[in-house]
Amino acid sequence: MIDLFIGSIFLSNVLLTKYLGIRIDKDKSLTVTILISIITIISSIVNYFVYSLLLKLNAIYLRNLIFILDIVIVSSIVLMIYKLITNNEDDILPVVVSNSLILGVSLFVTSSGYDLINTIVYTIGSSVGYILVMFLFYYMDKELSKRKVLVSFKGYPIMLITLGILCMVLERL
Amino acid sequence: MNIYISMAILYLLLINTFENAYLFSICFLITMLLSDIIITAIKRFVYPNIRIPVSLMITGTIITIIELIIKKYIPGFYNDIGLYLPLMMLIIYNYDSNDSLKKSLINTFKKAMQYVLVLLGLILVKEILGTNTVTLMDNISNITGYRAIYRILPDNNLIPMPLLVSSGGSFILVGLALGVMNKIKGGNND
Repeated sequence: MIDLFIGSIFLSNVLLTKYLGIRIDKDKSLTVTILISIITIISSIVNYFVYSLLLKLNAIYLRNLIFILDIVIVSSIVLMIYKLITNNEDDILPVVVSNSLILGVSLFVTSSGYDLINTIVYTIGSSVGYILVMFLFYYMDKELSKRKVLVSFKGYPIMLITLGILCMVLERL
Repeated sequence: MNIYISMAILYLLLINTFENAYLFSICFLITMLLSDIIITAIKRFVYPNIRIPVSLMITGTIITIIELIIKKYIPGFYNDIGLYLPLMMLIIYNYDSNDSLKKSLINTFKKAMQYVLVLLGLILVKEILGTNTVTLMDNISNITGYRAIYRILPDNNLIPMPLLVSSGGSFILVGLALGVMNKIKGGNND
């Protein structure tokens, strides 16, 4: 279990090895990243139970539709609570729902055949790994914005190159 | 637009062979055009607050049908990127537009074709540099009856570079390609 947890943070990081959750938007706040991670954890656990029910009903072909519906419901509830707490009126539902991390982790977990405990461990590990990489990237991005970068490489091209170097470093661990 | 690019980059990183690239392009074009027609046609009857789930469900239905067909007839392709096909439904960029059907269809076709051409070009370069081959028919050989994998360059020390088909190399290659494209277009539309 500890292997799975550590592995999902570093060696098989969802963003660097499975390319899930790449987020390119001008609002580079970490709040959205943390919200996405929380929604990933909750929706993966919900989707685990839903998938077991679909297996019993022999209706796996409904997987994609039910999963995305779950994700929209969980995201709406979490964002509603977030808005109540912080009084933030920005509509970030499209940014959160269209992030591939949430659906990708649910699909990966169910197709790998993990049990409930492994699902929770893997999902928490993936979310921690995702937050870690995004943290690293934000600080690199801040640092890069102080340096001279070619105009055409500013923004997402330099982000991808930075992620590539990060990925190669983590691969050698 | 940023949401569209974020999702589109995923497949540039993921796909490693030219065959998978053109098979994916066909799936992508069918999904985009069909979902655009249906979403634009029923937009008037959908309450604005639930446009996102409705768009997702329509795209999801089309993708499920495509996924089931691929699983049955092209199992090799499904094994390669089957898990990532449902993620195509997250490319929700036109849920809040108020364009007419014709205008929306033309815009979607333009966007989808631009993306498909970039995808095909980049994956071709990636495969040639990474493995020194071009795969035209391998996964679909059970349908066509042919296998077509061509070697491009004679043996040399430079190519193939396995780094480019690894995950780190893919990120760097796609980043470089996007930077060069920005340079050619003259500016940065970040």
